[in-house]
Amino acid sequence: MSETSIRAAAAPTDDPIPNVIAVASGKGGVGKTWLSISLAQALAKLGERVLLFDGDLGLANIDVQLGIQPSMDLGTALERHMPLSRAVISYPSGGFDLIAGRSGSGSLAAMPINRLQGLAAGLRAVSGSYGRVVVDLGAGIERPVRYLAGRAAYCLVVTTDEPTALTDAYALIKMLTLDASEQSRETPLGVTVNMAASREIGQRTYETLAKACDRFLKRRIPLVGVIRRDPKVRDSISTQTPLLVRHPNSPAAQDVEALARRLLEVTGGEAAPQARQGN
Amino acid sequence: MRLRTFSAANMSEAIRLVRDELGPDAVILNTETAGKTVKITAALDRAAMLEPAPLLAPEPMDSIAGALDFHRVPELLMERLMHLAENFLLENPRQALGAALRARFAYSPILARRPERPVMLVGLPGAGKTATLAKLAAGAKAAKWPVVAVTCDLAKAGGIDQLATYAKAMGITAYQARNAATLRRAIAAAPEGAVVLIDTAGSNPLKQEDLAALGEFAAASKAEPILTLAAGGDVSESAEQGQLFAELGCQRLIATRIDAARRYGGVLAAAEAGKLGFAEFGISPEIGSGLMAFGADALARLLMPQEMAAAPKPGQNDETARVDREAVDRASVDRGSADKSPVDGGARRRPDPGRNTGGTRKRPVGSRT
Repeated sequence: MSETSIRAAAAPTDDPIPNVIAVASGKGGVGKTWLSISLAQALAKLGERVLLFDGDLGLANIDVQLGIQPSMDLGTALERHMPLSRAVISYPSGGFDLIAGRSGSGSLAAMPINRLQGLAAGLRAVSGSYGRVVVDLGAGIERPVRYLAGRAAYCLVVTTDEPTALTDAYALIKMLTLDASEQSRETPLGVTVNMAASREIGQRTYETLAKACDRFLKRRIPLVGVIRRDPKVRDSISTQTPLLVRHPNSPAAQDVEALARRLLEVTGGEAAPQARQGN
Repeated sequence: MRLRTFSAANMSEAIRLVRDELGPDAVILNTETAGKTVKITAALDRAAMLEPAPLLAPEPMDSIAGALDFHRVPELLMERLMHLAENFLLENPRQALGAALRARFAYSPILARRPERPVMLVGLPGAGKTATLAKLAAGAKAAKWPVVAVTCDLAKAGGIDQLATYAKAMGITAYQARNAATLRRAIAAAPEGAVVLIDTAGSNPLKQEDLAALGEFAAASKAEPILTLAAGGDVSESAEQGQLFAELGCQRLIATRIDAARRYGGVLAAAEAGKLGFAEFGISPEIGSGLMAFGADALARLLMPQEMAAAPKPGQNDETARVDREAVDRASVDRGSADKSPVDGGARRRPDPGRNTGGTRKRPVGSRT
């Protein structure tokens, strides 16, 4: 049985995977998957070798947004106890590789902890071939989301200015903070405000969330970027073409590229395996 | 966190609204003035750092998954059982697993009542057919049912001798049948109401002629073929056996050598693949006590000893095979102490009467319920 097989029981490690950036939101529908795809592409444009991993274990849909029909996906690799590298498909027009998830696979959504550890081990193994791995997490604050977020070197929390999105983003940050106290390791978090009417309004939305985290959780969460509301985003999603391909000069595309640059700064230019552990 | 937005004509009025609504602990997150209106976003999270988050602590479903993983239960069956167990998370994981096993599989021990059709044990060479036949004979005899044993296994060296030895020890009649016709004659000669147990040669389910021969014997005897399957075998192989013997007409299986294996994924896989119900389980080599009927709870106990807190150690089955002393005393088997142990006579689907019993209630061999 391969070392990356999901059943591998050999001493699961819960250490973070040094080059993984998780994208999470708490609430669904805030543009998390779209942002993950765009971010993967923006990072690739910055010269990174990027893997996009569909970690929305129950309702994966990166493949749908990209308009592709992957011959292999995460669910199949797990079922057949294959290394996750076998599920990697390349997406040349975006300049990155991806591992598609499988939508509607309840078994993945309800993964017990040993499977999650196996999945993380598989992800760790495959991540070694990449400069950055962007993990699109599912909505919600269930254990699979929190566990995978906790394995990331950095977790990007996506919100919008809607009160529900703010509340759910806060709930996610709270759960990750509580998890961190259990694991004696805090995953660095950053917030991005998506679909902001303007940069200023996005900044205000961030401040609302940041203040709640500061006051209730005693945790300061930095802003890493505001993505402006842009009709071109809807157009790119409905045509199943990445925004940076279809409308590379649109405001949202520029914002995503700025976000990618900022993320490389805050996560360190090099993915140094030991650099961010235990801080 | 409760997040609310309040609008008022001035700031102090807005703050009063916040205090009224959310109380003195509310935190103002944002203020905004739009025209003559002041808008305040405020929130309250009393439980901010109170609740523990057992992210890595085992959850009930984890221990079930861990147990099924340990037994190498095939993925799809595991998924089904987990799904069922989730709906039954009542008191503890093992009970939930028991409920899932009850929903997924049938349990019908052969000796739960006097078998009217002849019983024909089929399976791979070395599965334990002859010893199982002897155990069934002991059980039937204990229930004071007349027993006739027939072997169709004339090929194996000493095959007849083995059965003859058992038969002699138990004082039952044993025949050998060379072909379908002699088998039919032997059955016809059996006394009225006798339990007819038929032993067969080990068959290779991948060989067409082996299956054809079995089919012929089964047709001649109108017997119910019952798969005899050794526990601990390869999961995929066991599943294929379950399926192939189901095609031959098997509807139940007897899992043997439970005591000599630690992983029972193969047994479950065979039952799942062939849609086979569980008849008795072979839990020890002793003829008088080596066969036991398990219900779903007892099976769960077998799969999840001590809540699967640690990986099972050899000897884990002591609990499963624990003997109900009272039942031993009542057992009517009268042939030396080694044989004076009960076989669960199929008291299925009863609630577990207590932690210290082996799941289902034990009854003397073949007692009528």
